[in-house]
Amino acid sequence: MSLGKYFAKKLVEGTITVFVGITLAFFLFRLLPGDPTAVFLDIRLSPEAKQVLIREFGLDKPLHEQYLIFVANLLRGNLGLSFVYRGTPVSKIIFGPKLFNTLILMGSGMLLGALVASTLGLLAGWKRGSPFDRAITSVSFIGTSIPIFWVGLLVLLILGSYFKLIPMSGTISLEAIQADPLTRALDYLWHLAGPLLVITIWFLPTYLLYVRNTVVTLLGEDFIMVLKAKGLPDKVIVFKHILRHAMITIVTLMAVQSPLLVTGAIITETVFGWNGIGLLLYDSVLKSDYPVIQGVFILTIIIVVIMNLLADVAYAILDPRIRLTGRG
Amino acid sequence: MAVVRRRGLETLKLLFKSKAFLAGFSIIVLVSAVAILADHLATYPPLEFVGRPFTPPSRRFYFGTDDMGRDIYSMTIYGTRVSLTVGIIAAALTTALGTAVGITCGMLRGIVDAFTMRVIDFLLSLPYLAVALAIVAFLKPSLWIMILIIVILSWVSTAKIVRAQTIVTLEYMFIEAAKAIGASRLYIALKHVIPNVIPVVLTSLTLNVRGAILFEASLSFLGFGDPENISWGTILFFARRSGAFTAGAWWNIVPPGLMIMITVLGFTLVSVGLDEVLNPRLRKV
Repeated sequence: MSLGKYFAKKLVEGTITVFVGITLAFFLFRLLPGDPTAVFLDIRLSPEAKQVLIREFGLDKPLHEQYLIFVANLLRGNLGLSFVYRGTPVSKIIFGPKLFNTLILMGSGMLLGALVASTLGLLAGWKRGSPFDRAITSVSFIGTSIPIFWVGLLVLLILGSYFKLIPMSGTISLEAIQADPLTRALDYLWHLAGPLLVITIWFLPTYLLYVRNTVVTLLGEDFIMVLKAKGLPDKVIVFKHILRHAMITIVTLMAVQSPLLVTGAIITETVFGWNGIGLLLYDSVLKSDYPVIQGVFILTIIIVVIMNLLADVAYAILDPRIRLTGRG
Repeated sequence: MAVVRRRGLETLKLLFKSKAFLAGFSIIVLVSAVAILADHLATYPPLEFVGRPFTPPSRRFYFGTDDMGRDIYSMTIYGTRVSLTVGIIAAALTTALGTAVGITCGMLRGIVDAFTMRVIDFLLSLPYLAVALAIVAFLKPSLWIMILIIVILSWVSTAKIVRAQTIVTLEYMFIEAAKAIGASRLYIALKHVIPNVIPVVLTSLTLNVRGAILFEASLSFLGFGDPENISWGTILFFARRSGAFTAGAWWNIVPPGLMIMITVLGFTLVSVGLDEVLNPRLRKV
């Protein structure tokens, strides 16, 4: 299978998943108890505004017609109006600074976690059985049992409350909003430090254990023996050959665990008041802002599918066997 | 029958030789003891005002008090009951459903299997917490709603593992022999498939308890726990809402979190031990 064909197949599969997700969102939000039109109509809206929404989303029509209208609207980026941010389109609330903030936080956290995990995991696997390996493996093992929100609270307590190193909440300080771009950027990074640390700590142990185990397995394989017999120095073996396999492991894990990105975003952003999609979802649930919940729900499914697609491509490039057999 | 019993005994002996299993098992026994003896161990009613807000730990209040003057120690003790109950009930139902689906798909194959696998792959790509939040946005939170959400979202991994194990089992020669002497599908399922999937089901069960406890803790921490039955997650929710960390009240944050960590670690260790003894070939290096 060529790379293009392989990618096309994955793209079709991903699109199907997204559509199933949209359908699920549509029915989930309408079959749950209560008035199904309540999902779209804010009781505080004026009668005229209500009429506009009823017409736009065909709320007076039967459910299957509503579904088609819903999908058509969705493709045009129309997700309805928020209840809480009176009359603001949902798409405007989601696609803006909030999505940017979340992508920055989760993207950098995941990459930082992967980077530290590959380095430490590679070293631990290489020196397997050493005190360093045993220490790092035990800590990581315990690390997989720690709830992320607790890590967040501890970081706030120690770095925020005791040492006053990081701000207690938010994405940017009030004073910095008016300041020059450099001050603003620095202030943003200062706010990012706490949540970023938490996300990194969260991804680190699992990634690390997998990389370490991959390295240990590989060291026992024939081709490594051959490389050793050829007289290649250990450094070349580890950083050229084993690293490549370790990267496949990490990429796989990132894809499999991409639903966890959403969990991480919701919890970390809530703890640190980070103005992103996760906090938006949490606030919307508390305030029963159904159109926003629905929009974020669909967005998270799309993000997970995109993550999986990216991983599939990275995968196929890193490991040609997958593409040839069409597996994965 | 005697042979089976002896095999069971030997497996038990092997299990208790595994350090991981022994450590995990001890943790679970201790935590369960706390849950069962909660009425005797707690020093105050968990939800009552008993001291000044944010009193540091002392001989009167072992873990201090929270913003409403409630005794953190007693709350943590009673929280054990709720967290463990939800974790175990949810995991038992999850495992039962996953096992039933897994065996059915593995034995039937064909369209039913293909379709179910599609559904499973879809569910695996759902962001769990987002779905859970979307559901609690409509339903009033209670322990049963919480258990229901956990079961709906987490039976899939068990189903996948059990299905794979069922397919492997059906490849064995003795299945061929059983079929040759005219054994029915039901007979094969009960007599051969179920005993052979039990090891993976047990490992899956312990991992499901671990997952359920963490999931319950996360939902409660976000404030969607049952207000009548506070769990460890709920105590941490109170701590966040009251700004316990701004007040430097570490005693509001450390004990419930430690309990979650230790309990989850216990179940993880048991699953590692079970895997070592029961599934030596499946073991990852």
